[in-house]
Amino acid sequence: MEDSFQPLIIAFCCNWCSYAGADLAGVSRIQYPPSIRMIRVMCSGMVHPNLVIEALTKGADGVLMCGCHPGDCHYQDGNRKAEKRADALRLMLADFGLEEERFHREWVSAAEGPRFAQVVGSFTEQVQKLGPSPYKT
Amino acid sequence: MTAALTLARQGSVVYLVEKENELGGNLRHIHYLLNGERPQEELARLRDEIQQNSRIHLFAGAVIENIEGSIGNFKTRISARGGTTEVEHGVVIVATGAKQYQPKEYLYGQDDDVITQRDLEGRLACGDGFLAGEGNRPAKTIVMIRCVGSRDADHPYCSRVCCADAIKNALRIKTLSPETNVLYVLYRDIRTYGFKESYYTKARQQGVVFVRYDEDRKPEVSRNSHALKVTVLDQTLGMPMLIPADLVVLSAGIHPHEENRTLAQFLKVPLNSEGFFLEAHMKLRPVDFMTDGVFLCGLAHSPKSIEESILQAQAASARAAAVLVQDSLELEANISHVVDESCDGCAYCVDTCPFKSIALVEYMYLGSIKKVVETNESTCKGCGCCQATCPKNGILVRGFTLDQIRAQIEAALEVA
Repeated sequence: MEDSFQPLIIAFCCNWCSYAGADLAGVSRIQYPPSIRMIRVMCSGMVHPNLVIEALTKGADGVLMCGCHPGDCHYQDGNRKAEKRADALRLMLADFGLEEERFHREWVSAAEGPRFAQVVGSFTEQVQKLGPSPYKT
Repeated sequence: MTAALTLARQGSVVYLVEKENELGGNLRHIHYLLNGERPQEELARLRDEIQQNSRIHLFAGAVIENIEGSIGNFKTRISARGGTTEVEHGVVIVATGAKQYQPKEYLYGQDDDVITQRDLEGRLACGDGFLAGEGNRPAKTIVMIRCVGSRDADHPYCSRVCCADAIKNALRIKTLSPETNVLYVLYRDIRTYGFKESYYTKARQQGVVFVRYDEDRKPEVSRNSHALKVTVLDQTLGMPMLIPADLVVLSAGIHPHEENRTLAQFLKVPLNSEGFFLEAHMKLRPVDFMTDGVFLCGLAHSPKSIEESILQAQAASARAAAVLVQDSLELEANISHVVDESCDGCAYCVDTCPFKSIALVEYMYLGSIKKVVETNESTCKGCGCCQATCPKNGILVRGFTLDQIRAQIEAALEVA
């Protein structure tokens, strides 16, 4: 296991749903890969596309963006805006020489601790398959 | 009701919105408790006090049409008895309760001798009519089946109160009906938590027969011409047991209301995967919601006993009172502000703001027209949609500025 590649993933989690969901995964003692570094934001709609690109070009192997399920957003529709930005971002990644699978957007509610763990697990696997970021020095 | 009274006694004005035509909810169906108390007397006392209290405005048979606003400044439209009223209030307490599962299994609804614990309790309370079938034939053998509509694939949670409820009714039958000589309780696990354990012992001492069954080998109920037959695998003998029964009583689980979903969207609060309301944190912030100014108690939160519901109602009203006694509330610190030097008035953020908190202003500066946006600090919630939309770093959310998030990213990448 030692030589297997452990990716480094930056996860943007919204304060109301996904961050609480991650907290629930924690207090429920659910195991998930230690690959993510979580950054709390108030809403997934707050994540500037530049930040995602910056994280990836500074050496993150993947970026995960988690928000509330559509309709559940604490700020009415911040997550919908995040989704539109995510769609646009995916198109831009190729210009930076990055695979679009390195970026993933997911809805996780505050009650979905197990699902958060599962999302992290499957995204980690996905990034593992891609290998380390080309920007890694 | 407890929460309403507690707050009204402290001097707050309470709008009590009840879906049904009368107050009381599920308590109306509970006639006696294990310790001999009679909740109906307490319920009548509460109802009287609510009716007499001039600070409580009761809306019975009412529907909530809309809730908007935030802590300290909610506006709710209530329609009741043909009329619509709009009320302004500072906090919301969600105490919408839950309902009893209507069983589909074990011939319930098809056979008159298959009833729920609640039906049985109603019959026991009115004295003579609890016996099976028509003509008040005494029920000699009664079989109780536990965990109906709880702890299954669709409803994985435990309904918490039914164990004690079944034992309460079993003990009651033993006292009231000497004709009932055999009383079986088919259970999966008995959880008579706290001091209720002693009543479980008492029931066993009085000859109530407890038979365990497994989730994948549920008992079967069938009907031949004269009697109901219950078949269950006795785990001690390892053989199926056939019980001819006069009356089968099901412990139907507690299920959340479907309307919870609508209310949750009005209040912007989450439900858990089972459909009950989810508090901010089960240990650190019980009875609070993630949304400020909204509190939770009773069966809307999870299945619980009467005592627990009342305690939680008092807790919720204490938390609500802490908000209501304040003259003014401090604004959130983490809200947006405009960086005038960077903003060029493109107004992309004006459209994206979900709270319409951003406006474009034009003014003359050194002989030319200058455009910038302005934020309204009391309606901004700090979601940051504007920050992510701005191409020029012209509007930032305090505490979550691009530089701050960028620093977090860099720090996270360094540790690797």
